[in-house]
Amino acid sequence: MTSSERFLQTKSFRPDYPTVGGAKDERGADGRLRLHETVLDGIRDRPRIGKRLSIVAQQMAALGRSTIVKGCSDPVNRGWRRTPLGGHHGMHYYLWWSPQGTRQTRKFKSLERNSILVRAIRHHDDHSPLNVGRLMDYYKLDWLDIDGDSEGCFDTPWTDTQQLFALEDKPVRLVYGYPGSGKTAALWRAVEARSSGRTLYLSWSRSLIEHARARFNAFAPADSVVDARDFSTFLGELCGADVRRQALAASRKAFLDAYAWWKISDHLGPWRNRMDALHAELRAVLFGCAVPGMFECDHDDAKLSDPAYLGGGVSSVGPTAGTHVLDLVRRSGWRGWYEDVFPELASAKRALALLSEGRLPDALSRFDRIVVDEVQDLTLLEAAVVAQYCRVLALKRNHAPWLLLAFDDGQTVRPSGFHSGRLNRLLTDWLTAPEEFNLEHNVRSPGPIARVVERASVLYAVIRKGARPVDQHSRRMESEGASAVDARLIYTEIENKEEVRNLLAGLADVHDVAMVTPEANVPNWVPPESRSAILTPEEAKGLEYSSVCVLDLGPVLARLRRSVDEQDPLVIHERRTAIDRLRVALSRATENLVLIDVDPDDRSRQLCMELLGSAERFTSGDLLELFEDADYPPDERIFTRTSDARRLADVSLERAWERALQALRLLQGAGGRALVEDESVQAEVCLTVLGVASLRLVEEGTDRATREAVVSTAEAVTEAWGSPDQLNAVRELALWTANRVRPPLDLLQAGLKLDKSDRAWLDAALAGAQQALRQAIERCPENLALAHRFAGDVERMLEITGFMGDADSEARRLRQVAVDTLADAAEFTTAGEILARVESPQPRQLAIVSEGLGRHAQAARAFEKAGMQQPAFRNWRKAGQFEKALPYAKGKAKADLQWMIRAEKLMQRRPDDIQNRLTAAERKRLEAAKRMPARRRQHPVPVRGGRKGPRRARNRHGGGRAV
Amino acid sequence: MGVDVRSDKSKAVDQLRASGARRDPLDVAAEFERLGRHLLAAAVYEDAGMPEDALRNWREAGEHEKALPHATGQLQADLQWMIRVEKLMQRRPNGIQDRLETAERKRLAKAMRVPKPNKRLFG
Repeated sequence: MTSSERFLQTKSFRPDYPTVGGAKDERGADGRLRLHETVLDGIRDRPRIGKRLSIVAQQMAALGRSTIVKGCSDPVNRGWRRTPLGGHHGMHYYLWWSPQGTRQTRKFKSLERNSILVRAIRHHDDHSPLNVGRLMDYYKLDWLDIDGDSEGCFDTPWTDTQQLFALEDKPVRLVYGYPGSGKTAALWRAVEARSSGRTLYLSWSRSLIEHARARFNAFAPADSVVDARDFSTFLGELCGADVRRQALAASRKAFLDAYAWWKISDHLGPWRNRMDALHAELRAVLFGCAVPGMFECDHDDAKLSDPAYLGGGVSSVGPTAGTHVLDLVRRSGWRGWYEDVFPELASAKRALALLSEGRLPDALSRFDRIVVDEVQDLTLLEAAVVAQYCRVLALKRNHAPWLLLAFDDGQTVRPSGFHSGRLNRLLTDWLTAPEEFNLEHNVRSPGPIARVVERASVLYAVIRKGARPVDQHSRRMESEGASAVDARLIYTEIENKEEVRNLLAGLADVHDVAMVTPEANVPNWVPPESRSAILTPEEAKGLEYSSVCVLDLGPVLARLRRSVDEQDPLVIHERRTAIDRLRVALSRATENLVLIDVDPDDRSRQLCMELLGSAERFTSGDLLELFEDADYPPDERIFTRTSDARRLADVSLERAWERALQALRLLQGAGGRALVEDESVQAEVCLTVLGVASLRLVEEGTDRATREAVVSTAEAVTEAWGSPDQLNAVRELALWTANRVRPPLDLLQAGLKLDKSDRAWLDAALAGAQQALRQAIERCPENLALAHRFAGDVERMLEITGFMGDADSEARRLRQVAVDTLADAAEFTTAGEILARVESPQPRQLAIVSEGLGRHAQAARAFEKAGMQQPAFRNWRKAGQFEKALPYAKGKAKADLQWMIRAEKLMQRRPDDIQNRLTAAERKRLEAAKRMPARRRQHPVPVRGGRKGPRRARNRHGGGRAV
Repeated sequence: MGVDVRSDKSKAVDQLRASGARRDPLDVAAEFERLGRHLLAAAVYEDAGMPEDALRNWREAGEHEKALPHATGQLQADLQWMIRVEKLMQRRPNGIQDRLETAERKRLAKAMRVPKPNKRLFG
């Protein structure tokens, strides 16, 4: 490290002062919510729901809906949405609201698009008819009313620790906490509390990024820029090449395929029957911790060196398993499969190498604040990319950016090897010691469910301290937000396979009930027809359901207890991962948590009941009856599926597609005509199908038949409920993804016709191909057949490709290339049209195009500006401007010009009215004297070395054009 | 204009004499002028010391240079200008017509254009 780097590390951080209670700027959330006057009375009467209401209002202002939405099944109130607000001793109160376009709000023609009418706070039993009332009875809220500050209508949704984290001035800050403790909200608050900066917000989760974009569009200060990117896009930007997005399951499959090829099963040792764990160890540790400067690495820094891996305290699998890892890797010729199995790590390694050389794309060099959410999903190598990025930014800008990170190392379902101590060391060594904040309040899970998660966290206690997540056993649970909401804990036993089959089939059809396995994969006992309905913890992470059924937890708990005395590091390692998965599975429920035990023994039953505390015992029949009794309207069922589809897209596009199709079937009904007339529901389904379909087209190498099915479904949905522009965009996307050699300009122009809010699905899909798109665009202006397209809105085209830099400058550069291409082909008319869109065009280009268009005076002036004398002279003469041409003239041309100037001057000095005094002979003689001889016919002479002047202007089709 | 006015004049006078009528030279000049023989008329008038008549006939003959000594005021300025134009045109660079750009040719032609005389309403 150079002395300047060391200096910058220690001295260049500036305090991160927030603009608390800053200027009353306008924000995207302004005016979206309209609050009925009776709602304010409802808040006054029920003070305990104020915080929850505030959270819900913020969700609605950002996303257009709350994360939990229920409908109304009775025909009178159909169209109203309901969101639970909690209350005393049970789920007492609901917020009743309705977006623009529903049965209730359709009559208000003046209601703006995407507006929401918040009508009432009602007791959960109150289903009496609710009239929407008059529009004038609703108050329009601006962001200050709902951002939780004292002058707003609602209570602050922030806990003290969240506020402390957000408003602290330490430059590097870490926030960690339970699932549902509000880490993400704390990060958002920190970003929104500061104006006039540029923030880069990163996470591996695309659904979180989509959510964050909506949030910042609504609440970020107008004078600030917040760019939310998923980590793959960030790496792609650093490397200048798209990162292949591969779900964990696909990575595991690639690993198993490679393993089958190696034929080295005799050398697996303790890893026999633990192929997923071996895959995780390689990803998380051997390759994922290969950070030069922290650990000794070899083979171009792609992997840890053998001594570093075995002796550096990085791996927790112990020496025997570790030695086998190294042996297996060596025997398998890892270089042959590394990029295929771990493309994201290969990209991170490239990015780190480029950053270490100080190479940083301009587009990424303008950020003041870097925010990373879900850091536990990042390997150390990926976290090092962020830290190194901050260092390079510090060197380029002479002050370091602020860095805010959030993690929960108890949710490392993605094998990242995340270790808070290692992250701390990385930040301290490379940047500065971070300030840590522990969020202890649960603002999402209802109290009883949160307590179950807390009891599961106690299982970490048997793991040695270095191998367990930080501070998971001592968290205090306090009643905050949703924890005031009541919940049911249910235990169900199933005795035989037939009962299993019936229960799983029954639950698969029930609305808002998720079946989650606590294992890494769907257990073998699950019948084939139900397997697709079961979520793994990795798939379920980030999702919320009213009811969650955790399958066959007893054996998992028994296994976790049984291994307490074992000292095998590999077993301890597996146990830690198993507890992480368990906590993720348990914390997905918002109302009902059900443990379904299959043919349990006494021990298993006892462990489940201990975990639940006090639980109701249901038979499988009771359970089906409980859920089937719930009368959910179609729109609520649809919303749950569209929400699932969006989140599942991160882990399994096939699963996401299934959910999107379920939503579509619910919307269509049996007759093919929409069952739900609510336009906002129809739009939601349309956008979800489009979103998943487009992701499949861009990211999956699906077979032709699947591809055609996806495209035709997307087209049908768009024809029914979308716009012609959306349909066009789908078709163009299908064409481009089928043949990526095809220039993407048609696709981008189709995207341009969509409003930004209608285009989110396309933007999200194209995020995985941003670099490819930009490289393709780069080539287009050099292509004569395409150059004319740069007369269009290039800036917005770049926006669709996720261009992070100065789009105006980039568009200008591309247009200049297009102008050169067209000018070389003498297509000056089109070149002129493009040049007209360039602010302060290059004088050389302006001159060439002007000359081509026969605007010689303009051309001559531009040539002069460009310092090109000869062409300037030529054009001044062609413009008939003797005087201006004279300074550049030599020889005969000079004499000619001088003579013409003199002649003109003499003619100007003509005596007044001489024409009336001339005799006929004088006139005749004068005319004879003035007469110039006829021009001698010139024969074309071939010019060596190409043409001297511009060619005659042609149109794009090659035809001649009169200039 | 390359005409030997004096020799022409003598011949004409001789012819007139030979016709049998001894005439006054002024009558001869008037006759020449009437016949449109302005060069002869101008020479005779000049010999006869009648500069105004000589000037008129030199001009009618398009002889700027010869008319100039007899001209005064506006007419003198007109003649001087015409002589300068003629001289300038004579000093035109050789082959310039082949080197001129279209716009230059147009501009030059426009510059050189002398308006047509106003139409007289009477007389």
